[in-house]
Amino acid sequence: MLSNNEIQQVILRDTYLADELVRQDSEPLLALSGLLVLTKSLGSYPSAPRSYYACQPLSVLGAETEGGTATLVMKDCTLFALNLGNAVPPIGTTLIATNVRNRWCFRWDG
Amino acid sequence: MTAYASYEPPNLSLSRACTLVGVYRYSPSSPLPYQYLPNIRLLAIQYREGPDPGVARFRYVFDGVDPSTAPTSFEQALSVDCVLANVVKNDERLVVLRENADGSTTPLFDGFAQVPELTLTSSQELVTFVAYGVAVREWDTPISNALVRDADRPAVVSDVVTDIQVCFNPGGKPNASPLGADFTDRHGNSYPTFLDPLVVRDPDVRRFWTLPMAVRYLCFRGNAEERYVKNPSGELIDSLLDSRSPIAGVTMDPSDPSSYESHPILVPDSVVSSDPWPVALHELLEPNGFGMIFQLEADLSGDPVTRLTLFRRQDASLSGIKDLLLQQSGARLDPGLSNVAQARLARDTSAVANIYTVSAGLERYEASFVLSPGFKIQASDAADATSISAFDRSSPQFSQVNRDKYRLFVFDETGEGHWDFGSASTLYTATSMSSLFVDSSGRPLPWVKRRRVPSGELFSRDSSLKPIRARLAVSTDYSGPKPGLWDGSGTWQPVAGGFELLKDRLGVWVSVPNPNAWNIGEPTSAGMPFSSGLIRTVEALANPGAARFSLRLTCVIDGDVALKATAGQRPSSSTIFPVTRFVDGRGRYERRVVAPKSEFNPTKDAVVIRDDRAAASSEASARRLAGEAGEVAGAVVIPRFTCAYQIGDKIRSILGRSLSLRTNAGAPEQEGEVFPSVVGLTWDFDGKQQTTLQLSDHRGEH
Repeated sequence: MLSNNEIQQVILRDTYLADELVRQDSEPLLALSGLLVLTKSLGSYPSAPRSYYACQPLSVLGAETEGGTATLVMKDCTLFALNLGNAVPPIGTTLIATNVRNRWCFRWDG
Repeated sequence: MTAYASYEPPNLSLSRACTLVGVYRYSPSSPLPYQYLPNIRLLAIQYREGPDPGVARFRYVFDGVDPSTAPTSFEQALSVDCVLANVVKNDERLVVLRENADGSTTPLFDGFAQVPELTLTSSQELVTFVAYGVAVREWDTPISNALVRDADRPAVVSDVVTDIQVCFNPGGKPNASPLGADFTDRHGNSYPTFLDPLVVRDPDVRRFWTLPMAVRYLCFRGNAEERYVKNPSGELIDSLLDSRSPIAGVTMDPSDPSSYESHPILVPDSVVSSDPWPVALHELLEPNGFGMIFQLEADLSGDPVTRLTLFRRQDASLSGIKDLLLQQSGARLDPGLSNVAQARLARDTSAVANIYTVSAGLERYEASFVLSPGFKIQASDAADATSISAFDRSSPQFSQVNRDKYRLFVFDETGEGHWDFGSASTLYTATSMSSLFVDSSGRPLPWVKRRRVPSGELFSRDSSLKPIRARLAVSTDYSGPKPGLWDGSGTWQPVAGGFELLKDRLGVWVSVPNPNAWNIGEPTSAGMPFSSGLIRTVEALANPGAARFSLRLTCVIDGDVALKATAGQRPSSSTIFPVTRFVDGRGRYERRVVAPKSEFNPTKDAVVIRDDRAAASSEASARRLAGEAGEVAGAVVIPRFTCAYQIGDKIRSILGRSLSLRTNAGAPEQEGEVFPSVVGLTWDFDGKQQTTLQLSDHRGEH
C-alpha cells in the first residue's frame, strides 16, 4: 500500500509525463517537395534565363474526374525559384517548382 | 387559587438489580423471529466511532440442562456438522435484547456470529465466539463500477454502469454531473454521477465533487438496498457537511444557519475503487472534522435497525451534551449523584497544532517570452552550400558538434549564455523576469534565477474551450529586448510546427532535419515576414545584412511563490508554542495568471484566471478549529450497565467536582464550547456489569 507521500510523487510524475507529451512537437511540418507556381514581376523581371524569379504559389482544386476542370487559386505570398533552363519564362507562366535542399528550382526551356 | 405540587424522589439504593439481557437467534422473515438461546452468555459488547460495525463476545454454558438441544462439551460446540439446535453456526444472526422494567425489550446488539474459539486448560474448557454487527455486511462488496453520465447531454439523466475507477475530482478537474441533474434510484435517493472531465462546454456544466455530493454517492450507491444499514437522509447530508466559520459579533449556533458562514468542502483527488464504502466514507469525513457511527436502534416494532449516523466533531449543540457525576470526597455515597467508578483522563496537548497552512502548488504564469539563439553565430556558417550542409542532419557533412546550432533558442533565465547580435558575442547575463512576478497589487514577489521548464498547454482556450498548446511566433521587425519579456510590439507570424519545447529550461529546439529549410506553415494573413512559409535559419542569422528574425514563445511557467493560506495561532490554542502543520493542497487549489502584454492578454494588467485562496483559507480555518484545542482523552468506567451515554455524546464536565472538560477555553465567544466526545462504548457482562466510555481516542482502554 503506497503511503500518502508516495501517492503524491506518483501523481506528480504522471502530471509531468502528461505535460512532457504535450511539449513534444506532434505536428511536424514536412518540407514541401514541389509547388505549382506562377511567375510574377516585383518591378525588375529578370532578362537572363539562369536567374531567380519571383513566383506566386498556386493551389489546385477541382473535381478529380476524367475530363474535369481544374481550379487554380493564387496564394498571397511570394517565393523565389531558380530557373535551370535556357529561356526566360514570360510573366504569368505556370510552372512546377521543386525544393532542392536550400532553394526552389524549376526548368523552363521555352 | 394556585396549587402546588412537589416530588422528591427517594435516594437510589446502593445496590440494584443487574440488567437482564438475553441472546437470541434472529430470523426477521420467520413467523417467530426470535429464538432464545439459554446456553449462550453475553460477555461484552463494544462499539466504536468510525467504520466499525461493533463486536460482541459470547460464551457457551456447558450446564447439561438440555443435552438434546445444547452442547455439553467443546467438541460439540465447535463441530461444523453438529445438529444440536442451540449450537450457533457461523454467520447466524444473533440479537442481544435487554429486558426493560415494563416487559418490553431493547436491542443492544445485532450481528453475525463468527470465529468460535476454544480455551482448554486443566481446570476448564471454554468456548467463546464473537459476532460482528450487521454493518459488517457493508464490507462484503467494495466500491466499483462508476456510474457515468453520457457527455453529449450532461443535463439529461442518462447514466451507464461502467468499470471505470471511481475517482472524485481527478487531477483537480471537476467530474460531477451538472446541478439539477442528479440520478435518482428506485428508492428515491438522488446523487450526482460521474461526468467526463475532459469535455468542457460553454458554460461549463461540470461540477467539483463536494463532501455532501461524494457522501451521497457512496451511501446511496454503495448501500442502495439498505438491507442491513439505513442511510442518513440526503437533506441531512447536505445540511451537515460544510465548513463553518463564525460571523463577527455573533455567537455560532449550529442549529441556526444565520449565525455562521457556510462554505463548501471540496473533495480532494481521491480514488475509492476497491475500498468498502464505509472505509471510503470515513476517509472523506475524518480529515474535515466529521465522524460516523453505525448506531443500533429499535424500530416501531421493537426490532433492531442499524443506522449510519454522521456528526460534526466540533458541534456544540445542546443535544448530546452530558455530564459525568462524582460526589465530593467524603460525601455520603448516592448513586444518583455519582456514576464514575474509575477514570483515567488526560488533557493531551501533545498532538495540538495551532497554525495550519494550506499550501497549493507554485503560482503559474502564462506569458510571452522573446528568445535568443543559444549558440554562437559566425558568418562563415552560411559561406557556401558545404558550410550550410554542416547543420543539415540528412547531409553527410552534418556533425554532432552542430547539434544545437541554428536549432536552440533560449530565454537564458540563468545566464548560461545567449548570442547577442549587437555585440556579435555570447553574453552571460541572466534575463530578468521581475516584471512578471508581481502580486495583484503590482508589488514584486520573491523570485530566484533558476531554470523554468515551459508547460505544454496554456491557460488560454480556443473557441472550443480546449487549452491552447504553447505557441511560437517569428518576427523580423521586433525591436524590443532580446531575450526578454515581450513588450507587445512587432509583426508576428505563427510557427505551425517544426519545434519542440525544451525539457529543462525556457526555450525551443528546432526539430526539422534541415534548419535552413524550416517549414513553419503558410501565413494566415498578409504582410507576414515569411510569406512562403519557409525560414532559411542559417542564412537568415549568419549572413551579414540579412533580415534576422526573433522568436516569441508563449507558454506557462511556474513562479517561486506558492498559493498559501494560513490560519494563525489563537488564544484558544491549548499550547503557548506556535505549532505549524502544512496541508498539501496541490491539485485542489491553484493560482493562475495570464501576464500583461502576452499573446492572449494584450492589456497592461494581469488577468487572474483562477485564485483559490479563499477556499484554501476556509480549509486552513477548519483544520485549525479541529486541531488547536487538544483533547481530553481517556476512559471512564461506570459501575453498571447504562444506555445513558452514546457514541458521539459530548461530555461537558464531572458534576460534583466542578471540573469542566471544555477543550477550547480561550476561543472566541462566537465559536461556542467544545467538549470531548465519546468515541468508544463497551458494555461488560462477564462477572459484573459495567460500562466503559472512551473519550476522544482509545488510550486507556482495557
